[in-house]
Amino acid sequence: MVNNPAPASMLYLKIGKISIPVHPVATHFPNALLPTAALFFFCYIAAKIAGLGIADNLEIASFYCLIVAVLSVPVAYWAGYYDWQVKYRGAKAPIFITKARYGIIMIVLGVVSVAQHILVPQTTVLTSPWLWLYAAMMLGQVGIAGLLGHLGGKLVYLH
Amino acid sequence: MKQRLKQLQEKYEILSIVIPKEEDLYRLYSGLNGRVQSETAKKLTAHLAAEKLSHKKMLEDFLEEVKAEMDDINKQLGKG
Repeated sequence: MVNNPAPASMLYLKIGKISIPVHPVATHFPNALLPTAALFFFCYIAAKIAGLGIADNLEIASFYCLIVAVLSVPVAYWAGYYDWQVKYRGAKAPIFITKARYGIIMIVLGVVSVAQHILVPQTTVLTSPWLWLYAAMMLGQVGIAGLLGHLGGKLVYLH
Repeated sequence: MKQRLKQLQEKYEILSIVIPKEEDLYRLYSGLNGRVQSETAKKLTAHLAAEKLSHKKMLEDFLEEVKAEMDDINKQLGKG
């Protein structure tokens, strides 16, 4: 058998005999939870306008989804950075640079939107511009998650 | 010259992505080589693993050429 000169491929979390690749797992949290958070938030707006009692529950569900997504993004970013440095040897190709830049924007948007929700009570008031700023930041994160997922798919499936 | 640099950057990106794929396949065939029982399957997986390593070497050489040309152009453009 020929010896393999290649370095370790990517970051894994080892639990017993199971090796879990960190980046692909971590990225699925924001990719799933951010659209869910946005969906619940727009359902909250619709329910609030319609005067439905479920509205506040939708808003709370949206915020909890957002918190878990925002917490998972730095983990995904760190694991992705590790994989870039090890598996792809830190190649300064546009696809990696784009992913790194938009990842930082996503972290900032996530932290700012959660902080706004905690610190600005008007965030959930329909007539307040804070609500639309919060919604815009959430949609921005959904868009970036989609872009980063698309670029990640290009790396994995070479399409 | 900028057009050539763009072409080289595209090549650099493709090679940066494809080389680790060859490594992944090398690991796959090496792993299988250690697990299969039949002599034929052992020979086949060893052959495929060696092929992957040779592809990797070829692509790495190509990558070095692309990087060298990119560096030259960047120097001429005053970026390097």
